[in-house]
Amino acid sequence: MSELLRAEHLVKEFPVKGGVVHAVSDVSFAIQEGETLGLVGESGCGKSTLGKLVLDLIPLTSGKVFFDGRDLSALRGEELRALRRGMQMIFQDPYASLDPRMSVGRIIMEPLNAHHIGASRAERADMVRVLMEQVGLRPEFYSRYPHQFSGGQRQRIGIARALALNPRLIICDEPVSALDVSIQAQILNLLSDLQRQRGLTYLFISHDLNVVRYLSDRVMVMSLGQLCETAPTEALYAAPRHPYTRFLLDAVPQPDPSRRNEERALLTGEVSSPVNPPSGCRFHLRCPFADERCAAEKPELKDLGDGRFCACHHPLGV
Amino acid sequence: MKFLSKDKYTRTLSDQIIAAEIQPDEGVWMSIRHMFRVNRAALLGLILIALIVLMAVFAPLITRYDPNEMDLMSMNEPPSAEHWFGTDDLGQDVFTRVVFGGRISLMIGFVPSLISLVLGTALGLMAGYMGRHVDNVIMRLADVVLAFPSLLLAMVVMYTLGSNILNMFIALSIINWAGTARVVRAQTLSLKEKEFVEAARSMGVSRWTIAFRHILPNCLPNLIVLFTLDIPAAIMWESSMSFLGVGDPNAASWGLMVSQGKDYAYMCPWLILAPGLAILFTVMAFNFLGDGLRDAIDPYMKT
Ligand SMILES: Nc1ncnc2c1ncn2[C@@H]1O[C@H](COP(=O)(O)OP(=O)(O)OP(=O)(O)O)[C@@H](O)[C@H]1O
Ligand code: SF4
Ligand SMILES: [Mg+2]
Repeated sequence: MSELLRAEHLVKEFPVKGGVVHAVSDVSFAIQEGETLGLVGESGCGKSTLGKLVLDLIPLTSGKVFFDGRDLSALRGEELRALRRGMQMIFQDPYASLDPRMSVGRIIMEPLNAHHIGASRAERADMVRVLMEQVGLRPEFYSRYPHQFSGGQRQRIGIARALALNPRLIICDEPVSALDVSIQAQILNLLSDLQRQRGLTYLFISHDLNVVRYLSDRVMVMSLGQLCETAPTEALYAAPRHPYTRFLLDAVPQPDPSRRNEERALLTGEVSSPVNPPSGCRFHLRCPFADERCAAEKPELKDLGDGRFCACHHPLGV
Repeated sequence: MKFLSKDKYTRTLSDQIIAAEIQPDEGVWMSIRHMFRVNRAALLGLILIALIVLMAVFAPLITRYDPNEMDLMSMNEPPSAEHWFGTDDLGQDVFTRVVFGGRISLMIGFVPSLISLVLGTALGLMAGYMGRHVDNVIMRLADVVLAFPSLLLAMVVMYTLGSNILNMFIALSIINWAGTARVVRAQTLSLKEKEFVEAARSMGVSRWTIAFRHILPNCLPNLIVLFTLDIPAAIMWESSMSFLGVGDPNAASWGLMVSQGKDYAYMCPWLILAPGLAILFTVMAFNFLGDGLRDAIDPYMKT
């Protein structure tokens, strides 16, 4: 497997009244071709911002993104557009992400038009119908408008649109969190089928640990703009190393009744704010394992072996 | 009947759009169709407008007189079977002159409203989309225009440029574009933050394609309402100016007819009643239609 995407020291700060939002602070990671990298974290921790930084949808405060070995910041104009074609995004809100005044056919055709793919409009329309079929939409619905579809069908439209340019990497930003649970599985299965058929690489963002677990090969846990822990999926769920990961896992409804009474008191108190975050480890005010070192020194992401990385001075179970 | 202040209306609408109270609503065309079924006044307005437009277009087929044909044997005659709305001091048939005057008054309603629609949309889109200096310059200009009493501003323009119909178009366009620009700017600011615009950007769609394919079509419902309400306003402004003597003295609009008839108002009331009622009905019809359309697209006024 070769490396498809590398992010180095990504930083994004939003200046706001009364300070700076540190939405993403020094995040580095890599994604191998064909794998699914999950990204979990609570609402507002900077997941979407990170996804948009990778896609160059919003400007980086600092850091570098390499796609297919090439530095995006070093490219301009047509070259950048051509490279960015290889990365597409599926959005969280299947309502807001489709233009209500465009028919489904035109929505899916838009990326083809933008990149002048296909010799004629008729040819592009045929391509759109093929895409619709691939995501499980009936091609007869070509001329319908988004409001005539259910949430799940709309998300399929968004997926077809993301596939149109035949990308290698798709950033899925909470693609199922707006959907009914019964529909979620259908969409997740579709994403998984498409990945197999097309050899796609996913950066899969979600706040739902169960959803992430279902698709991901590896998982990154994020909090307040920083990575806490990265590990192969099953290892992470079996034995979290970072206190915050443990806290997240404990917060998930536990299906096994015999484990329900286990101690779950990790990380109590106020969630720190991304505006002017505390010094040292960002959890030290509410972490039961915190000591003076945690208050003073920011923990770096350390290699624990077996593909596991953890940003904590006192990793669990080590 | 309420005469809308465009300044007030566009300000409220812009504020609501910016506060994200009004979302692009995919069901707009459906709710407009529904509105016509429920709102009889709007339907009546639409029918009246159609009749008035047909009357103006087919004017020569409707009457057997020429609007400028003088008949010195029958001056200032009251309404009769021969002359439905009577005759004026030159023996001209008042009904004929009202029918032909409709051509001019409607043109005065449509042309400047269309100009300010195009101008206001282009400038509002530029201001909202390009931001910074472009936004500052355009919107300060719009604020100045909207701060002036419209009638006064239009009269100053007419005095300066001269009293003819072309300058009337210019004067009315100058007072009307700013409100449209304000609304389009607000809508552009709100739309460009929408996820579907972000999606288009992520796919490499160009800036101006986004402006024309995503932002403009989503402004359309509001623009239709503004256009519908601009028309009666322009007809009223022109009538007022003609009455005050700064209109085009050769363009026999309804307003000019009222103005010319006012000296005989006591002896021959039909001279001002006929064109006056024509203005009243036309303005009312457009306002009914515009109000209905506005209610249909404004989720907060829906019942
Ligand atoms: N344009 C912006 N200006 C200011 N602050 C912003 C902006 N965009 C995001 N933020 C802030 O950055 C932080 C991270 O936001 P982001 O949308 O990336 O979170 P998220 O993890 O995707 O959350 P969610 O689960 O709600 O989607 C939040 O505190 C948010 O308020
Ligand atoms: S570094 Fe210290 S405060 Fe931070 S999570 Fe680890 S133990 Fe807790
Ligand atoms: Mg998000």
